Amino acid sequence: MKAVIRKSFKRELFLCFIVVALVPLVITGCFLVSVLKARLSRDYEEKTQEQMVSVENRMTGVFDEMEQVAEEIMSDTVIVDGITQTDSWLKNKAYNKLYEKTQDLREVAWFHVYDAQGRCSLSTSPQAAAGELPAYWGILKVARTHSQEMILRRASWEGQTTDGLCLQGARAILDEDEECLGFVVVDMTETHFETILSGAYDEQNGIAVLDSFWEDVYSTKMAKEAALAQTLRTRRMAGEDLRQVTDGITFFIAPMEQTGLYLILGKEPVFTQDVTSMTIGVMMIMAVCSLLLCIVAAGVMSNYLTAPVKKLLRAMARVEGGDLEVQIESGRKDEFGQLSTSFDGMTRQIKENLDLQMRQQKELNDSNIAMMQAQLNPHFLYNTLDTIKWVAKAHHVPELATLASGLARILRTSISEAQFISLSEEVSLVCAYMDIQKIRFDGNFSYDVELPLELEECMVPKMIIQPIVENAIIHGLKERENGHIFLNIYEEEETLFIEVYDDGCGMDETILGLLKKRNREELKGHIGFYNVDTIIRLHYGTQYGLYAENQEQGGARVRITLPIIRE
Amino acid sequence: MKKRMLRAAACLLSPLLILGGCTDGQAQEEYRLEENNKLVIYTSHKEEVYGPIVKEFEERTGIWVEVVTGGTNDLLERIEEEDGKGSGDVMFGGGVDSLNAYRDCFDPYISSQGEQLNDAYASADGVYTVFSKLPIVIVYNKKLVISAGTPRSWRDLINSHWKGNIAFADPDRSGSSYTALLAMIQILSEDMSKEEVMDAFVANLDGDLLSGSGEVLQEVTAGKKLIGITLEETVLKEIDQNADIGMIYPREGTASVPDGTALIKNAPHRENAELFIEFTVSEDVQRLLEDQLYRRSVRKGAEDAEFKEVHYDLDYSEQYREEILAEWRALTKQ
Repeated sequence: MKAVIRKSFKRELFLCFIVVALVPLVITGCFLVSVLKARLSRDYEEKTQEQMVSVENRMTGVFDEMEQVAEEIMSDTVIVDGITQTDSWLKNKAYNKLYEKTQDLREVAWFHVYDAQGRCSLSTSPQAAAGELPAYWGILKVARTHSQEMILRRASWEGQTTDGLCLQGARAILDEDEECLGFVVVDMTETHFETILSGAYDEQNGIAVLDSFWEDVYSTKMAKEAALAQTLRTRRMAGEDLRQVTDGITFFIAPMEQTGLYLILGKEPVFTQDVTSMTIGVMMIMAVCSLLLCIVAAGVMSNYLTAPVKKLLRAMARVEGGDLEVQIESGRKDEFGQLSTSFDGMTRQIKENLDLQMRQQKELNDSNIAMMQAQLNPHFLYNTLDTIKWVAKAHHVPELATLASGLARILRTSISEAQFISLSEEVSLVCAYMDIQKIRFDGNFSYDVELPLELEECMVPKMIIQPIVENAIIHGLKERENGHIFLNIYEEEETLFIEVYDDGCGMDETILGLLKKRNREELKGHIGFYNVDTIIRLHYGTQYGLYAENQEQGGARVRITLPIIRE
Repeated sequence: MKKRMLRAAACLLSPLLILGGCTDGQAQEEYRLEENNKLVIYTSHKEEVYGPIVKEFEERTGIWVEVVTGGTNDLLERIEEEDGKGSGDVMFGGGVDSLNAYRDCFDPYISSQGEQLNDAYASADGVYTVFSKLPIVIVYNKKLVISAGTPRSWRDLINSHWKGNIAFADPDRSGSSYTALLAMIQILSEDMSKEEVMDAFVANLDGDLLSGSGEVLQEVTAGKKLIGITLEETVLKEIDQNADIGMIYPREGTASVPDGTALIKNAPHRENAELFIEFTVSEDVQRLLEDQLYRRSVRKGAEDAEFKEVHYDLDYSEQYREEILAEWRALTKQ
């Protein structure tokens, strides 16, 4: 992975961008969500607490009123007397009183008056006054022993039909001697609870009322479905956490003072799975967007950075190939621009240095030749060769005469001081050379020269054709009987073309490749080519030079291009 | 490198952790229950029996009770499996013979109210404390049998007059049926051997056996059978629901199936368990049994005038159980 990234500048940039873009995004995203969640939960909790207070107030209000009414009933002699009354008129009077006292509360509870033995005597419930509560047991027993207060208990089944009955309250009626005359009993059914709570809480929430042992007294539908009471009691008994992470519902517990009851409110959690997954989804989309942005930015940025470097690399390769004319000429003003300018300056400098070196070398050569000329008088050599010629003629050895006159001509031209000679001179030099070679190789090849008259006076560097012809004879026609060399010179668009054709074995492809690359080191044995090429380029510039190729019908063709310069 | 990556991951994840748990330890602390304020009861009683008793116990003592319900045998097997390492404190319910059979699972406890209790079924070494008595009675359909013609005694049940008309559960499956069969053998043992009694009775049943004691009343109220043999408790309850049936205590007397309460070995809340056992035999609870739960008190002074109580020989019952049931199976297969 690391290796793959390190290989490309683009990938490195991309990785950097991802880190820079994604890390802050994820951190801020998480932070935002957590802050939001905390804030929401707090608001939510406050709201729930308000709701619980409202429910609690309503219920304690009802309980307080109940206690008041119970006290009024206890102190009403008509009712108390009515407990043991069998006379229907007096009983009726007691009933009237009971209904009068309880008229405000009959919507939310049934009131009964029991006698001391636990038999129901008067009742506001729609059913006939009947039923019994054991006086030695349960709520009546507690009410008897705690006569100063209203006792509230979860209703259970003993003694009566329990349909929908949730909560029971009882208070003992005592006379002056603390003798029990009976009990005021208040029954609250599910319907009563619904009436009390209606509008006090949000219908989506579940409300449960638990007794002091956390047994279910009353549960709304939602609380029943969620089994709030049972779950909480089981957890409390087992000593587990009351709120657990796996809960589908969050709940709030509040004890209701004095009554011994507990109020539970169950709520769907504010941060449901939906909300959480949506938040994560949004974050993912943002992450993907910034990822795409990173890819685009990395591409653009790396191109912007690597393009000048690549340009520089290409220019460098050309310089390595010997082309010192290269100039980058970047229009940029930044560090890359400066680098390009320095590069351009550097190649210019190198070229100048090279030219200087060349000039010095040439001067040195000139002085060498001058020294040689000084040491050995050329005229002595010419005269000697001339003498050889005449002696050969006198003795009828024409080959020797040709050899001596040819050699003399070559010698004269090559050691003459002039750098440039006319094309006709150059061609006659080449002819002399070929005549000598013909004798050397026993007349195994022939040659033709095509030189238009108007080009005879063109000036060319001396000895530029001879190396090419030498190559054609020595390499091209090596294995060949009756080879032919054709020297064709013509002009086209102000350029002088000198072409050397041979019908030999052609040139090796690798040599041709090396010639194209102008690789001096590898061109051993063909160094003449390289020298000719270099001389022309140095004199006339890189648009001129030497080009070699093989002909389709066999043999090689070497073409020299030069500007036309006339004296 | 790895460490650095881990650290980076931790930095990234830390906000997520904040998102997680918000627990309020305060509420947790406020509502923590002390261990000595708890009691775990295993019971095979129906909710109508244990419900009011457990509620009253909680309210009087302030102890929180967890109730685990199940069949008698299931619970006893569970207690045996737990072998003193379970959470249960008290086994509430189950015939005393069953409790006696699992005596190794219980710690002996002798009630401080032993003096006031009827000692007929008391456990000598305190394996269990008797809770209630359930006498066996004959039930009949009032519409189909005139009261003058009802069977009056155990001997009447082998009278061919009732042949094919008796609803009786298989003693192999129903504990109360087995007790009834044994009571019959015991009562008729003066002039009949147990084989003769069984032979005659099986012949009178005419091959009809019910699979559970609950079905006896169904058969009688539906008029499929004229009379039946079952527990007083169930008959009284049915009569209270206005069923048109009558109940007869056999003239020779009848046996009661007593059930009891036992203290489980190594009970985690032993003190509370003892309190509960005392509570079950207290005057109030025993009174409630008779008043509301159609059961017979085990306290002295609550002796029953309506019927003669025949002592049910627990040792005999245990000793001959397999033999009698094998005989019964052989007879009913024919």
